[in-house]
Amino acid sequence: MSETKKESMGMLALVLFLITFITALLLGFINQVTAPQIAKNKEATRAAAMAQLIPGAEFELAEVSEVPAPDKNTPAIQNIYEAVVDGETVGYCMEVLPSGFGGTLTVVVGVNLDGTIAGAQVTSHAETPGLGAKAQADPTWIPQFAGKPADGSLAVTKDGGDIVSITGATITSRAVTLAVNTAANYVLSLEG
Amino acid sequence: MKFKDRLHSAVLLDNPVFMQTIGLCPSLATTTSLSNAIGMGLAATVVLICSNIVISLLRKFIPEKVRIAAFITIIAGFVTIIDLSLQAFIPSLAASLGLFLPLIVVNCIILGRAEAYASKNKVLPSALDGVCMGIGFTFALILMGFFRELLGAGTILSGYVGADKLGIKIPFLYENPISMMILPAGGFLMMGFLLATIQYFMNKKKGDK
Repeated sequence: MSETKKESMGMLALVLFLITFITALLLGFINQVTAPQIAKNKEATRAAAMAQLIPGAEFELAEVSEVPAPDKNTPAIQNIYEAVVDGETVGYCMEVLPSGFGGTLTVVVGVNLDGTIAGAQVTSHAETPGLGAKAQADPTWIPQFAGKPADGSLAVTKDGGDIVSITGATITSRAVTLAVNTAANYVLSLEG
Repeated sequence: MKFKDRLHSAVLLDNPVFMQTIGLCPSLATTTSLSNAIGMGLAATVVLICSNIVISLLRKFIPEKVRIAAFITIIAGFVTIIDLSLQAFIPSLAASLGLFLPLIVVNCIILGRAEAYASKNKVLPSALDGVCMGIGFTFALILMGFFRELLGAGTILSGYVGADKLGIKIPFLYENPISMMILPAGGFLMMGFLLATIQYFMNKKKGDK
């Protein structure tokens, strides 16, 4: 008798509801605890990347009226910072989100106001370890962007430019190059 | 003694990946490097132990008809807790495991142990079962990850050791890596090689007796 009672429709729903309800409560609590720390970690990664791109500068959130809407050829831009040295703006840093081989990359790009690229840093990605992941892991690859002209003309060697691709990861290399170009074009549009 | 037997069985005779051939998706997808394999193995082991304990505790409370839904909710809850905690407190590991962490939810080893063992046994044996199966799974991932990274990238433990964190470089292989081994195709190949090797030794052992 008790078996049929336990297996009745209402009982099934009640048990399942209780389990999901308790799980949801628990997750809500954990999220409360970890969310500030996760935001802090992301902030710290970004700050560290920017400090490496334009050393000695202070970063202030730039007041920009409009960010170009992302489309097929221009990835999204977010978190635009002005780099200030001795009260003067020397450049901009921003996060650009191009599509790589394994999903969206987050690339922090620094652009100097003298028309050169300050550099780039990949802060998050889902690229293949050992191939595309070298964009972040291999410290010898990414510095080649520093000092290149910030006019949106950069391209990997396969496309006729002078950015040397990561071996076996042309798509990732193109994505980072596109991110740098997008940031450069954006800074040009700010000045223009 | 009993624990030793179970561990032996979970790691070798009844290894979830090599013998039962379950949980192949994470075994193929996350074993592109040794450090990823270790991270994935340990994360899955923690989820397996936690979910085995809770499911065993609730085994009399969960009705037969909705057990799968209940198991998945519990497993997904633990996975999310671990995902958020890693992102908050060990961000480097969370970054390298990335997408794969949430995918532990659909790892059939965890659901499989819940269904086959935890829902029918007491708490302590279920926890032990989680530990043993977790170690067996981690062992399989480490084997896969080690060989795939070695052949495909020419490094050992890249991302964690070495002056530039690129791992221990193996002279000839680092300059001429077999890149295919860290791509999906290489995962299937390595799985095949390992399965064949293990079967060979198993059969040889049987033949001796």
